[in-house]
Amino acid sequence: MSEHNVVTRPLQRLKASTPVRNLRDARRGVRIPRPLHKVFGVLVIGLGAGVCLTALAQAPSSAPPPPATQSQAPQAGAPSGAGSAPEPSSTTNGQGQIIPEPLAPGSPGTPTLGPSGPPLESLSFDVAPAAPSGEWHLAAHDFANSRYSDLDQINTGNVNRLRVAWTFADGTINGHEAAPLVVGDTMYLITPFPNNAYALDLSQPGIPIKWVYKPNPRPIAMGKACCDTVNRGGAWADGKLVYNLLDGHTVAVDTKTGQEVWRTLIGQPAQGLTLTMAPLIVGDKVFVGVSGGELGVRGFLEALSLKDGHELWRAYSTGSDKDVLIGPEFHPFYQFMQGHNLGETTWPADAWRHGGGTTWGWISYDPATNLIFYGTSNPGPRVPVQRPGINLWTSTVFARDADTGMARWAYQFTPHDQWDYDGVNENLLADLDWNGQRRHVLIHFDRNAFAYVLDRATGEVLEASPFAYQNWSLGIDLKTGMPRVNPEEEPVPEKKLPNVCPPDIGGKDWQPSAMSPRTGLVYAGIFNICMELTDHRVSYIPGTPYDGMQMKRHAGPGGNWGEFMAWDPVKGRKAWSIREKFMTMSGALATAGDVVFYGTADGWFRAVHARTGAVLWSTKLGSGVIGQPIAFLGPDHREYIAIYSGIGGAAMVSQTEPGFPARGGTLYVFSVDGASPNTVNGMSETKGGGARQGGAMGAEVP
Amino acid sequence: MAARLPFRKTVAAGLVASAGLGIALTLALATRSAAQTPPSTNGTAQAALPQTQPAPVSADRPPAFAPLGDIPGTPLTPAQESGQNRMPPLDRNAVVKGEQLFGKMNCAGCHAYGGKGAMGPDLTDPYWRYGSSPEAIYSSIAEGRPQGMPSWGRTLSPKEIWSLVAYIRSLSKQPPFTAEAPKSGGTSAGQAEGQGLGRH
Repeated sequence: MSEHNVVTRPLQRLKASTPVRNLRDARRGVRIPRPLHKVFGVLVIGLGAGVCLTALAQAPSSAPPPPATQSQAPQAGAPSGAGSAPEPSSTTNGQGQIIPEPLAPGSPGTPTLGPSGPPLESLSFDVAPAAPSGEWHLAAHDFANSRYSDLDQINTGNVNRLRVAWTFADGTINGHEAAPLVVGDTMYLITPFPNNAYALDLSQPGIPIKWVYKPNPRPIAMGKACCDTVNRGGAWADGKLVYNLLDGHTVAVDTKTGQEVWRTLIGQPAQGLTLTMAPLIVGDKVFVGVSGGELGVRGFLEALSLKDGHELWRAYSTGSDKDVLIGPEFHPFYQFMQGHNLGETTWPADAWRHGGGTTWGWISYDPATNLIFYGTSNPGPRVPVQRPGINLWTSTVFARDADTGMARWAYQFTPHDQWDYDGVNENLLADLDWNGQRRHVLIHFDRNAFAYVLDRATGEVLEASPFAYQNWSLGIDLKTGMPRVNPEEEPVPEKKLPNVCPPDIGGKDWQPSAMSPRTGLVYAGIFNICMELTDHRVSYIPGTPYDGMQMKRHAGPGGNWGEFMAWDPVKGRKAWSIREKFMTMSGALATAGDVVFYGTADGWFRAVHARTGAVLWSTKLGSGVIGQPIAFLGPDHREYIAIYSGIGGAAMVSQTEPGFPARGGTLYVFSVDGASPNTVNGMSETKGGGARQGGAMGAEVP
Repeated sequence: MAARLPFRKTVAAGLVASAGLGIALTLALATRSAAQTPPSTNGTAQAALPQTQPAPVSADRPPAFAPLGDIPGTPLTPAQESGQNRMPPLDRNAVVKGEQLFGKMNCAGCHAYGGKGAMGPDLTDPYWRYGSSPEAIYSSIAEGRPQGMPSWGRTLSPKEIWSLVAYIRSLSKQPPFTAEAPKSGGTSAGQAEGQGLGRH
């Protein structure tokens, strides 16, 4: 029985035969030369039809949306939050899986290409920093974190012809969570511990290693990493590859030579601090977040100079307003976050000093307002009775000025987080049609199983709808901004709670989502997991876990651990989803070819139709997939898809499932028919001079 | 007042006493050096084993020598050679005390409640990266290990560490109260020891 039973129906309409090559074309519309009078007639009819359909679709939302009364969603089909448009009907098959009707043309979220008019898409985003098409400079692709590629050589028509073009084994076996980067003719890879960096020459036969950089991080950091010794990738700018080492250093490597340019100590593993996140580079600044929320690390976000790595500013997640960089321009939207020094006063005395709020997730940036957006982790210790209070500013999204770090607004997703839900997941920056207005929002799938749409200028919650089964709350009150906590799922030390949903790793963890301006949908791997939980009181011992949660996780209702979904952010519900037996903990990739890619913990890598969720292509890789797929153009101007395989990370919570893979560490690169001029049949030799090795001693002292 | 001994008898008595002392000293030295003679290389180690008795066992004496590496020129394994001081006699309370410490000192934070492993390795399975003998486990806890196991030797007393050892050995169903080596050959515990290939 296929695990991904999505019934497909032929699309009502396909995009016009003129392909859209890039985002600018999508916005402007594609022009087709035709006789002028025909153009005029068609234009009038087309516009009129579009206006009528849109008006019909928008009519019920002339009144403000009712406050979200979020009843528990027992299955994957969460009820709509906004309820602003007639919803496409859907049925549920025997496994409780959604089989949606395809979205009708003209309804919100479906871009339609009029014969000679602009598309009526609902979702758009800023493509800054606008790397050349076919390159990938940041793990999230762009400041908005879209993970959207405008390449469409690989599309719904030919994706089933994808074959392996070449592979690369990097010699490490821990969880492979990184996104490859492509700059010009070179691909850059970052490995899990020991965090080696490889430069591969895409232009030469055999794709040789140009250089390898071995930073030799200190092994004691391995014992401080809560969730495997992973690394989520690097960032490239100004001839430097910048990434984090597990042992608390950020490094910059000269990409021409593979030599280290600078190495900055952010914090000490002996205090429980490690680094796993992919930094963000904006202009001349590098933004770095820390890990260690499970070890009582007092979290912070750091800005470094791209040129030489020195610290520009540091914003703590707990403590005084001075430490948290809260000043007169800070305006949280909701009352519960208004006050002075709440980063101290919402804790028992001094508990904020080991309060967690680490920053190991994703950072996005809006050039129009010069604000960065990122989330903070769970509070410490993980046993909530030891820290009464709402524990600001943990499990919170911050908007900060990129130059000074001063906070502009914040929103705490899970006040007094009792289940380690964190708030670090990615914030996609998009523009949406909201009740007839164009609004600048951020879209965020939280660990607490709610999908949020926030106004990114003010932090107002426009919508919060569950995307996965949850029983910790009775809904989010949009008036106060606070959740109503279900008292039955509040942990008490030594008392076993048999079925808390979602578990600590959430309805969705760090695995990042992707959005498509062509469909208006946001794509993400999510979980269907619950936990048996018993809390135990704990003491703070530096460098050891400040934890206390005894957990056993199990699949939720339906028995599947994973699910891959397309979420309509305007309607607040799924457009379609695919249930997966194993965890779906890879990143998502959306492309202009209307294909979306994702992988599963047992090692399947799939391409699905962006509009209908039909699985168009699947292949089995050597190990499980928890990395981030990318699309790039080779020097031969051919489109390739690259994805790491190498299970590990938090996906190990399901390792006792029969069929769970062994560990590995191999990059797979696919193309249509596996074509690739540098890895063809015949007598081929790896070209390239000797691989140059650059490295440095892992210092015993910083 | 007794008459003094004649001069010659005094000298003779002194010589005899000195000689006796000299013989005793020499014998003592010879015995010591015999004890330190390395085992012969033809494998007949029995003949060269130390003849001094091991120091008296007590809960407060940590293992003197718990090697991680093999000992060249001998058939001894690190586990067999582990320490002159074998695990001291402990009572049933030691396992209970060890379990309490396992929680209090945050061992459970890395190794999970019940020792099944999470951040740190599984302590219930037969794979022991640094050895499963009581002395090897003692050393791992007291000294720490390079991939992130902290060193507790300055924080916990030897008695406390021994009770942790007893608890941990009980998790993998090894006898907690004696220094029994794992059963020879057949068990995977014996086979897995010495495989320094890292965590699987």
